[in-house]
Order: sequence, then C-alpha cells, then structure tokens
Amino acid sequence: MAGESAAGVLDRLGDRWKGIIDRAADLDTLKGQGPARDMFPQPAVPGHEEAEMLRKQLLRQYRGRKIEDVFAGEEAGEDGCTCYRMHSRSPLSLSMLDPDTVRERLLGHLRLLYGIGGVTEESLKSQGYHTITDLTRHPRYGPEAARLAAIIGKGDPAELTGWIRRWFPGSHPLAFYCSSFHDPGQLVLLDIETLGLSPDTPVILLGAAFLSGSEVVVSQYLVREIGEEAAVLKLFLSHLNPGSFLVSFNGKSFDVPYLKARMAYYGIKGRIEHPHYDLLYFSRKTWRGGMDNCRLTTLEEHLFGVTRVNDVPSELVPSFYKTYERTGNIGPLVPIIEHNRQDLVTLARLFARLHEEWR
Amino acid sequence: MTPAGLLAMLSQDPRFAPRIAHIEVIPARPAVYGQVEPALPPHIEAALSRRGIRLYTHQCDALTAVRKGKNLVITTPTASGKTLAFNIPVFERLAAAPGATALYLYPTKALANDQLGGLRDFERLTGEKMSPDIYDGDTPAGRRVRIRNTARIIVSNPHELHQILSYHAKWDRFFSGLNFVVVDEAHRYRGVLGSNVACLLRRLKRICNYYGADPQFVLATATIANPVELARELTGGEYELIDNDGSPRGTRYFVLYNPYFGARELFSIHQETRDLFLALVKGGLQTLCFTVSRRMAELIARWAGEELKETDPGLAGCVTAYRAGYLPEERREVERRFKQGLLRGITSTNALEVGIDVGSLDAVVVSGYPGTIISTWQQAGRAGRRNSESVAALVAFQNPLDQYFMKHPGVFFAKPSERAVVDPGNPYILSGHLLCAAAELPVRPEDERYFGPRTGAILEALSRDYLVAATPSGWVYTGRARAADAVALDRVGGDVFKVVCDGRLLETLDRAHAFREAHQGAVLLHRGETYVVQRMDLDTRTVYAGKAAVDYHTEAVKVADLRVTGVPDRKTVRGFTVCYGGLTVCEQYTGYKIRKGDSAIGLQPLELPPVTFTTTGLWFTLPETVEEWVWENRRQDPDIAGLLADKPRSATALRQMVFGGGLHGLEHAMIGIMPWHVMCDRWDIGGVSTPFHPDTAGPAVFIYDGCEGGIGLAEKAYDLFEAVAATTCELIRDCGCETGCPACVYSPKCGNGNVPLDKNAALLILSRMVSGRA
Repeated sequence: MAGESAAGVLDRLGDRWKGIIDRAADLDTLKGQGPARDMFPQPAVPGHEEAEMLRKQLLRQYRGRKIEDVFAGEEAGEDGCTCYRMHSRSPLSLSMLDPDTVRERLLGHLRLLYGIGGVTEESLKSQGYHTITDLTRHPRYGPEAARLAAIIGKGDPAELTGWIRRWFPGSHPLAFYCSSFHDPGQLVLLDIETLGLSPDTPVILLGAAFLSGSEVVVSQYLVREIGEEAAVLKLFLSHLNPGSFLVSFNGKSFDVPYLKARMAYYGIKGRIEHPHYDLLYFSRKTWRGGMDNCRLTTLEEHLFGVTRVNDVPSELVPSFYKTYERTGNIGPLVPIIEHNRQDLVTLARLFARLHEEWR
Repeated sequence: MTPAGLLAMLSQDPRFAPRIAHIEVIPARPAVYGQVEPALPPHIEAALSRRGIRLYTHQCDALTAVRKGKNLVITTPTASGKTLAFNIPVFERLAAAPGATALYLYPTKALANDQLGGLRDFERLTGEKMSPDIYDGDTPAGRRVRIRNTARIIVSNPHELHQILSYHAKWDRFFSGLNFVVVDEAHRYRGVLGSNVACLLRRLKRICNYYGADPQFVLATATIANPVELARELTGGEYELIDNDGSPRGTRYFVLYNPYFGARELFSIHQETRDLFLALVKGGLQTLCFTVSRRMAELIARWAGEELKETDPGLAGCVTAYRAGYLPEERREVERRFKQGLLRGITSTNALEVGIDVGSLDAVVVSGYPGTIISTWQQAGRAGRRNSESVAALVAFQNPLDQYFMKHPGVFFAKPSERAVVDPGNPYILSGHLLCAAAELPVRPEDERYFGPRTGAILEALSRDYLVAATPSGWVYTGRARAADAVALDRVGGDVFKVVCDGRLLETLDRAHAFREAHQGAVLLHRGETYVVQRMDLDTRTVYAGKAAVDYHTEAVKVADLRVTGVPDRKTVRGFTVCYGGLTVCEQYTGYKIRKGDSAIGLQPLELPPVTFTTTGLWFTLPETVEEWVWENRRQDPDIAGLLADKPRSATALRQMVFGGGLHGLEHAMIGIMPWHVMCDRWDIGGVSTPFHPDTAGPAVFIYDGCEGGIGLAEKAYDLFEAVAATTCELIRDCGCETGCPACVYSPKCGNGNVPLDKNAALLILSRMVSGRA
C-alpha cells in the first residue's frame, strides 16, 4: 500500500471508531445498568438541552483559565507520577451511636443464632431467654451464643458484619450499627467519576473525604491527563490503613470494583478489602417510600433541602470530560469537580443522618 | 443392503441410472497404530484400555509433539479420533501439574456443549478431576465465579473470550495456569472472521504472558490447502503438522449425481434430492441429507415422510428435519434418536455441517455444491464408518458450476481445498483490537511483537480522536463505552426474531431469515408441521404463527438494489473510470408466491421495510466503444457466428448476452482473484455487474466489502486496481477451459446461477483494461 494512502486509512480509522464508540456509549446511558438504573435514570431531553447550554457557557467563562486559578490545590504524588489535589472543608456534626448501645441491640437479636427463627425466638423469650447472653446458658444454643457474645464483646466490625449478613439482608440496620465500632477518625468517604460505566475506561476524578473534628475534609484528585490516573489510584491507597472503613453510595457495586479493576489494569498492588458501608442500601430501606428514585441528589433535596445549580448530570460527566480533553478548556471540569465534592459532603451528612434516624 | 449392493441396484434402475454421472471409489484403509513412548500415566492408560482404545499414529504423534512443548495443527478428517488426540495430552499435562489449566474454543455453543459431554466422560473414566465447564453467554451469573475459580478446563467460544479478556484480573488463576489453548474447527476462522480471531488470540497471548503463562496452541482444522500457514497467522507461532491419519476407513463410494443429464426435466431438483435420499433410506442406510436452505430441509423431510407413509409405513416416522433455529433441546432429542437408530434419515441445512452430533453415518447426500471444497468434504466426510462401507452423493444443481463438476469428475476429485487466508494486519480490524487491548492492559512499544509493526502508528492515529492516550504506563484506552462492545468479531447482531405459537416459543431466526421465511402469510415448516404466520410485530421482533394443515408453501419475492452514496476517489485506467466510494445494498421483500408442489398458484403483496446494508466498494465504468468492439470481435468467433447463422434475428439479444456475460464473468474472476491481493476470503466480497446502472448511467461492475461499514478490502483493491486487473486477465487467459469453469469465471456464490457468462467477452474487456488493446 502506498504511503499516502496508508496514512489516509489511519485517519479514517479514528473517525470510524469514534462514531461506533459514541453510539455504544449513548446506548449504555439510555439503558442504564442493573442497580445503577436508580442513579442514572433516562435523561429527559430538556435536561440535555440545558446541559448543552451549560457546556457552552462554561467554555466561554473559563477560556484561558487554569485549574489552579479556580480550585485551590497542589501537585500530589511522587517520581513524576503526579496529579492535581484539591482541598475543601465543610462543617459536619456527627454523633455515631454509642458502641455499648449497639452491643445491647445486637445481644437482643436471638435470630442471629443458627436455628432460631421468629417462632423459636418468641418461645425462647417466653422461657426467659431475652438476650444472647441469656442464651449462653441454654443447653442447645449455649455454645454458639457464647461465641457470638464474645465477638460482640470484642466489637470487631468486620467479623460482626459477616455474622449478621448470614441471617439478615445487607441493608438491615444491625449491619449499619457496626459502623459505631470504628474510630470516626478512620472514616474514608469515597466517590469517583469515570469515563464510562465499565472499568474499561479511566477514572477521571477521585474524591475522598475524612472527618476532622466537626468538619468534613474533602480531598479530590483530578486526572488532568490520562497519564495521571495511576497516580490518583496510588494516592487513594495511601489514605487507607488497616483500621480504615469506607462509606460510599453504591460503592460496593461500582466505585470499589472499578478501582480494583483499574489497579489491576496498571498492575498496582494493594487491597481494598476494608469494612464498607454502602449507604445506597440503607437509604433505600429507610426513605425510598417518599421519593421518585434513590439518587443522591434526590435524597439531599428531600432530607436537607439542597438544590444544586448548574449541576452536570452523572451520565454527562464522560462527555464533559471529553470536551475538556479535546479543547484543553477547564470549563467543563468545573461542574464535575463541584458535583463530586457536593456528593461527598452529602454522603457525610447522610451517614450522620442514618445514625440519628436509627438511634 | 450394503452401500455397494445398493449402488449396483440403482445403477440398473432407469429412474436413477442415467443420473449417476460418476462413482469414485475411495478404497478402504486399515488402522495404523502408534507407539506411546514413554507410556501414559496408569490411570489414563487404564481408562483407554477399559474402552478398548488403542491409539492411532496421528494420536501418538500429537502426544509426542505436545510433550515436546510444540504448537500443533491437526488436520485428520471427521471421525478419526481428533478430539482424543488432543484430550489425552491435555489430561496428561493437567494431571501432572496441579495448577495447570486449558481453554477450548469452539465456533458455536452447540459444539461446545458436545465437547463438554466428551470431556466429562473422559474425566469420569480417568478419575482425574478437571471440573470441565462451559463459560459462555448462557452461563448463569450465579455459576460464573465458581467456574472461573475452580474449572481446569473451560470450553468457550471466541465471542465470549472477546468479552472476558478485560476482566482478566478475575481470571488470574485460570490465565496464570494456562498451558493449552485448543482451537477446534480452525478452518472456520478465515477471511474477516479469521482476521478478527487472529487479533483476539494475540490479545489472549499478551494477557497470559502478563500472568507469566505461555500456553501451547493446539489447532484442529478440516482439510485445507495451508493448515500450517493458517495456524501461524491465527496465533503467531511455529507449528508442527499432524496429518498422519491412522484411523481405519471402510470403502467409500462418492457419487456425482446429475438430475440434468440431458433428458427433459421431469422433476425439480428438490424432488430429485428427495428421491435419492429415499432410495438410500429405504435401502437400510442411515442417511444425512444436506440442503441449501432451511425450507428445503423441512420440505424434503416432509415429502419423504409422506411418501414413506404410502410405500413403507414402517419407516414413516424415521425421517426428520434438523436445522438452525430449532431449540437446543429439540436438537439434542433428534441427535439422541438418530444415534439410537430410531431415526433413519435426517435432512439438515449445510450451515450445520459441523453442528450436528450424530457420529458417522452410512450415507450422505449433499444437495447442491456447498460453495467450497472444504465444506463439500466436511459434509461428505460425515459418511464413513470405521469398518463398513459408506456412500456420499453430490446432487448437482442446474447452474454451470455444479454442471462443470459433473462433466469433469477428474477436476472435482483432484481439486485442492481452498487456502484459508487471514490478515491480522488489516488496519480496520487490528485497530479495533488495539482499542480492546488498550482496555485490557496498557499497550507498550514491545507489544509490537503481538500486534505487528504498525501498532504504534495506528495507536497514534486513534489518539488523535482521543480514543487512546499516551501515558507513562503505555497507551491507555479512553473511549466512553466498553471497547469490546464496540468491536464485533463478525456480523452476528442481536437482531433476533422469535416465532411464537399459542404463547410457546417455536424457534428463533435473524432479521434476514425472518423477512424471507416468516413474513405475514408465510407457511413456516417446523419439524414437519406446518404453521401459518398471522402477524409479524417489528417492534418486539415477534412472529405470531398458528398451526394449520395446509398443502401449499410460500416463497418470498425479493427486489435488490444497489446505490452509490459517495465517491471520495476516482481514477482513469486506459479509458475505464475506476471509482472508490460508499454503497448501499438494499433488499426488500415485496410479496410472496404461493406454491403447490413446484407450481405457483398465487402471488400476494407484502409490506416490509427494506433491509439495507452500507459498505464501501470499488466500481468501474467502460469507455463507450468497448461494447461495440467486444461484439465485433466475438461475432467472428465460431460459437457466436454459428448461433448467428442459425438465427440471424437474434443478434440484438445475443449481443446483450455476450456483453452482459463478459461483465459478469469478469466480476466473478476479479472477486476470485481478490484474496491474492487483499488478504480475505472470496466469501467476504460481494459483486454486481450490470449493463446499465442509474448511478453510473452506463454499464458498470461493482465489487464491495461484504460486511457492514466495509473493512478496507475493496479500498485496497482500488489502490492496487491495475495489478488486480492484470492478474484477473492472466487467470482467464491462461485457464485451459473452453467456455469457462470454476477456476476462472464461475462463482460458487452467484445469485444468478452463473448465467449469463461469456469467458471470451470477459477476456476481451480485461485485455482492453490492461493493455489498452486486444
């Protein structure tokens, strides 16, 4: 094949695949996927028009500006493997349930033992066995009751959650109560933004939030160019230690598997097997009745009266990022970063709210 | 009756005798056993001897080659114990190395299912726990994790592998232990599909290498001209050929059967097929009849059943159809009854040449040349018991290609199998797989060793559209959708129609088949029962049919159209205008004929949307003087001169036939030669020739890519047009035949039955194109 013509073929390849991939992506957005459907409802056409106007407005507004001018932050990472880190703080009052109260509640659930259902529980209570502690004296259930009582006494949340999930659905309040056994200082709230729904494609922004006194401190790691994704993953891992626990919204199905897949992609060693409280399940159980869907934005409006302005709908995040990638104009990134930060703040408030709700 | 006895009888019977054009006797061959050195582990040895199995030469050769760590390609025929040839070494290795795993790839789910049965059987027999399992689109989500984590042999297909590679982290146990990749039916991976599979296997190799594994490849193929080359192109490694077939064979009689032997035709080709099929069945032979269409499979089974009811009531229930579209359980049922001897005859579409698991048979009827020598021998090869005689018959259609073989048996039996061509470097195909690869692991410069020297340039081009990004880790995929969803291995879409009767799912078919066979009013045959389609719902892709005993059948009437949608490039070659551009091929079913037996008794209109397909192609138009010039030359030739002398008034019609036949023959020959210049299979390319096309306002020949969107085949041929024309010209000029043959102007896939064709006119046009004069 002649050189000139070969170059022509190569030029056509990009156009061709871009068309095919964009069509596939739009189809994904429309279909929604499994439990994500709740979070990515079919976008109404007017919303898209608004989003297009927003995109244009942002491109005008931020032309020629740099990310550092808009969001305070710094280079983070090492060995030339860096990304852009941004910080912000918001007030938060969190009072987690007292661990002793949680122990008491756990001990009151006889059904946590093998072989005890509703009927047996009633009959045991009528015989004077009201708690797991009482049952340690029971001839049949005694040995297992003693084992569980010891675990509850020790208060190891991972072990307890595992036990609870054998008998109760993952969204049961008992599973959530276990978060009280953690040190609030070890809380890691997590929310990521990605280029697509499958971990084939990069993470573009990772938000992690922590508690500090009566504040929630948000750290956001931005992938300014795709080469920075590996740095973002490593920096997130550096926040985790053996005592950490995660709180997310749909993170069990989405964020954590996604991060694991991206780590495998780069061959980054590290584990994210920490206790993880996915508030989507607990929220659905608690508030679903009164709302159209269980998206985080719906919850925050319903619970905290927050309405977002100039928000970018989740399903348009990839296309906004692509606009940034193509133009180098940071405008379309601005609402993505704001959106992610707001998600984390709401997530923290939701965590606090659940501790009050189920007090 | 023995096959030889039956053939002798048919040769005396005036109904059959004149139609038997030739009987080729393929002599019997005794078994040749080999030696296993060193001996197999005792449990495998014991398992084999419990089944009374002694290994043939090729099975021993395969074992030796695998033990040496070689890649191998096995080309021994159907029923030669090919599967055992690779199962034994796989089991031996896996039993010795506890973490070792093997991946078996089959082209279809049905074949994977058959294979799983064999593997489980061998597992039981040897007592080696391999937990073989199928992992494909039908595997329930609840079982997937367990299979990934425990199965040591996984049976799957290329489409599934394409989907799972990006989840390699979940497969790390399986991939890091991968010792073998077994690719059966490898000859099916040729042309565009083959090029895709070649890229896919390179992606698999890269992932395995990443996990520290370097699997051996074991390929098995039908007889093709270039097994080692195909294997090398498909996987990119060196191969040892295993072709020393030691399995025994009874004598085989290959009959060329020509209903068009010269007398006035009394019967249709399908009735002729039925009668031969019935003669074999009545003669006591278990017979499989391959037909060209699903409808014919059903009709022939039905007619045969009706005839048997009258003449041999005892055999009436012993004949059935078997075809694509049947539900899997129905297919298993037919296979089981056939193996048990409860069924005597099966009619099947040739699309199922390898999908039907009935072992070997007494007789096979192939109705119509299937288009390739590879398929012909695969189908005929189903006949062939190890220790008794068998018959295979090729029933010729009326078209010149089939007729040519009837008149030249020597050519037919000496004709080598086709070459299987793949081109993993096709930039359209490779670029898609590079996107997938970049979504699996970052692609680094050293990955050129898998994907070839153009890897960097292609990725660079893709990065200009922000589909991949250069990073310190390598090229990273950055598209917005899953890469594997965007890249299709072939044109199997999700466009499937369901046929429902009284709320029960009867069968499934793709859009093209549904429009042709399950339109409103169509008589649908399913396992010999007739159903009439009441309604087709295009939105839900559901066809509602009701059972109805009707004595007619239907045949849809199609109008095809080809339009030029854009001409980005054109050039002039000695007065011929050659163009490259976009084409839309549009087919619409406008009505259907109601037929009783072979005669049409009515015509009903249909309102169905056209099925369109866009692609890229090349076409050329001719200088105005050419037609006149061709005629002036041809009318001097004795054949045309003779015809003219007989009927001087037919000159205009004859002139049109000569010119049209010249264009048509040229188109066929050019498509036939394309695989030499553009690495593809001739079945990947379509063509149309016409004495007048509205978009070119004159005579034109179109040659286009046969897959949606095009993949650069015609584009490359356009660049190389003069070379393509020159070799086409040489091919026709140097062909020894008088008026055309399969080696030059006949096409195995011609939609017009190879009519009209004029070899000499084609040669005249080509020589003008190549040298400017005759």
